[in-house]
Amino acid sequence: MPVDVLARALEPGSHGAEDHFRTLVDALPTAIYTTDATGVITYFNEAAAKFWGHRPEIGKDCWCGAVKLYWPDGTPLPHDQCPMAIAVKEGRSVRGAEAIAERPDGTRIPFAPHPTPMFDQSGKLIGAVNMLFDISAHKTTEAGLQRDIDRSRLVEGVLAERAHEQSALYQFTDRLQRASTPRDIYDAALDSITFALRCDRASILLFDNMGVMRFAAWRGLSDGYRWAVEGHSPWTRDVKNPEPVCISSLQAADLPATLKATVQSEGIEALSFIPLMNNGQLVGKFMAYYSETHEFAPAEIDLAVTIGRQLGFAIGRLSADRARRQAEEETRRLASIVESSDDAIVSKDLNSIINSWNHGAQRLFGYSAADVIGKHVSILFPPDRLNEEEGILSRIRRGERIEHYETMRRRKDGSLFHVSLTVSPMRDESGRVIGASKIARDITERKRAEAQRELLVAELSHRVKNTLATVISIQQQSFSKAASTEEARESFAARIRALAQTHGRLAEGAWAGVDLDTAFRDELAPYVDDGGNIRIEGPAVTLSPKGAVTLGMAVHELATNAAKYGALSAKEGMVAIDWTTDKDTLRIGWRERGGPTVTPPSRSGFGRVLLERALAADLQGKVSLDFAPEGLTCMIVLPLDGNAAPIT
Amino acid sequence: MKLIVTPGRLFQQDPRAISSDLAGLTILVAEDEFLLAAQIEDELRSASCSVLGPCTSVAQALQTSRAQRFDLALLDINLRGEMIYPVIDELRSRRVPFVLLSGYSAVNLPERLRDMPRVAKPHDPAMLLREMRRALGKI
Repeated sequence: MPVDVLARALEPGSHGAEDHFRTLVDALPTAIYTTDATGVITYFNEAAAKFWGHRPEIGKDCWCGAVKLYWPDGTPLPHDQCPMAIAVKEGRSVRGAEAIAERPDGTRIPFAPHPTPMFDQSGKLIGAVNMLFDISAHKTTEAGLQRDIDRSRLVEGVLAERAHEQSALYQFTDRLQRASTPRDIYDAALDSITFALRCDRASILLFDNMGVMRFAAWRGLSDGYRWAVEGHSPWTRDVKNPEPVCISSLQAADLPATLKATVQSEGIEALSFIPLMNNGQLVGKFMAYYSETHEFAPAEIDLAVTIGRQLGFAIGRLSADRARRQAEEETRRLASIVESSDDAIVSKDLNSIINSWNHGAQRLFGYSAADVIGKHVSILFPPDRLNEEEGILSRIRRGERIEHYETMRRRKDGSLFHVSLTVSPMRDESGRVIGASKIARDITERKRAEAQRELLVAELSHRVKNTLATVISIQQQSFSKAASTEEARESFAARIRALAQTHGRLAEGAWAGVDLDTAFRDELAPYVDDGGNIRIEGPAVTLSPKGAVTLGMAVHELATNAAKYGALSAKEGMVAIDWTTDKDTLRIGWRERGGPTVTPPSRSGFGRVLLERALAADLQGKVSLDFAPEGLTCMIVLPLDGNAAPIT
Repeated sequence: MKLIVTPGRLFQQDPRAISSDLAGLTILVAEDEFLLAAQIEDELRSASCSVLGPCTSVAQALQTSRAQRFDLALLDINLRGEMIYPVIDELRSRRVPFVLLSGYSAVNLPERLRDMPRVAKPHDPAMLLREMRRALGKI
């Protein structure tokens, strides 16, 4: 819809240049009205209303405000064929026409219309302005007619000038609305400045971060000139109401000589400084330059100020847009951090209603955002912990932060898990607590590790106590079954050393077990000589911890017995140890030869009790002892299951 | 404060001397560590008790407890990795007194076992006999 900028300028409440114009046109004794490009009347002055004898309806009546029109010969003239209609339809001024207007009371007034089309900056028709001269009184006198024509030319010139200015403003406003970059704004502004103020050169300068006025955009200025004058400003940055500064003639101006020389060498003779304001603050200026001296009319300065106001506002809007975009970008970035976090991040209001839910929360709790947003957080609580929420919430209301609160929560499938919660109050701009953000971390793994560690400590304590109980038992057996206290003390100490040795081997292998070969070699190491008195042979077999402890003690008894009374007590004595395994049995043979002649013992010592009964009780083994005169033979048969495993 | 020392009371009494009231009782022993079982056997025999077992598995303990008559059971809580619970349940239902033996601290025991008569390993022989008498309602 075309807009009649002239009429727009005449609307009540217009400012600056428009005010002057409206006052001027309203007060003119000549009937003036305007239409838009479709012929609809958009404005008429008082003189026009008086001329027509009534007030046409703005925005509805077309072409002319007269109720009826006639040709000078009295034949009816349809409104859409009147000179104004021709001017609008054909886009040309119509001169020299005459017509007769009829008032509502029937009186007829002959008149001469002066319709002139109006175009915008791009040359598009936007409407027309018409002046109507009553010629009934002067028709006969040449002088009266000439006076009317002169007056019409004067008004026409003013109107044309105003239409030009308003068109420039309209174009500028229109382009500013569509501008999305500073460049768009500067281009629109420079076009409008040069067009509206009829200057061939112009520039826009803005304060930079350091408060220095710098060129942002320009037309027709040399680099040297810009470099030389950059930073100059007729106003300080904090000035409240900066006034435009116009220099009509540089020669007459009171300026520093060097500055004057610089400006003159650029071929500038007149220039104006127009402040750019945004939110009541000076942000920069625009400059219009003229090659000749230039008188700045008040209307022209008003127009320049209007352009400056629009430009300042547009620059402000764009920087506000940029700030808003940056804030949005920041928000998006934060949102994506929250979204991609492995931890569950959830927010709720002060009624415990969930209002945000990230991916981590979905992973941890099993609920999707759609499942839980708008629901009470209690759906995440195990039934026996529902009362926790009130405590958490009252601390949040007091503005407290809750860190690493360990508790249980419930998944969508009903399963419970350990979480560590950090809950922080969320505040609005005024600092009022409006809700809470919660980070929940699954600590099931850690809890499991803790439980495992506790179990391990308990198990260790259990083993130590069992071992100490064993030591006490060995002590009692050693002392109750020995021939002398001295012998008891020695054998007790040796037994404890053997036990310690087995524990040492177990610890080396992280309690996985001990090689059978190692168990024998450890026990027999003190008795090995260079002549091969001890032979140990057998496939690789690993003893379980319990198997190692019990068998270790048994081997200790066999070895000490051999050293005291058997083959290892004689120089030529030999011990041959071998073992075999089949599917589920380990068979160990201990054969002594070359020692003193053996006589079966008269009583059962600790060693024998241990061999015959401990291996049976602890390892379900069977032990047979043959006290043959040529040497002791001990056969041990153990089930592999639980005691030992062949290494394959 | 003047401390009156009565010589006989300063020292722990010989358990054998005060356990004559246990003489003749049959005690079922469930303990998978041979050396501990052997020691307990010695102690019980010194108190003139006869010993059933020692049983080294839960199954064996259950079987023995059903097949033979006895007055009290001494039960290690863990027999070759198996918990003694089925034996406890059975003895309770049969109202047969028992004393538990364990290397575990009370906090590491299942809650239902914490209030049962129990002697910690390594045990004090006198304490063992006292717990037995308590379980039997003799003190």
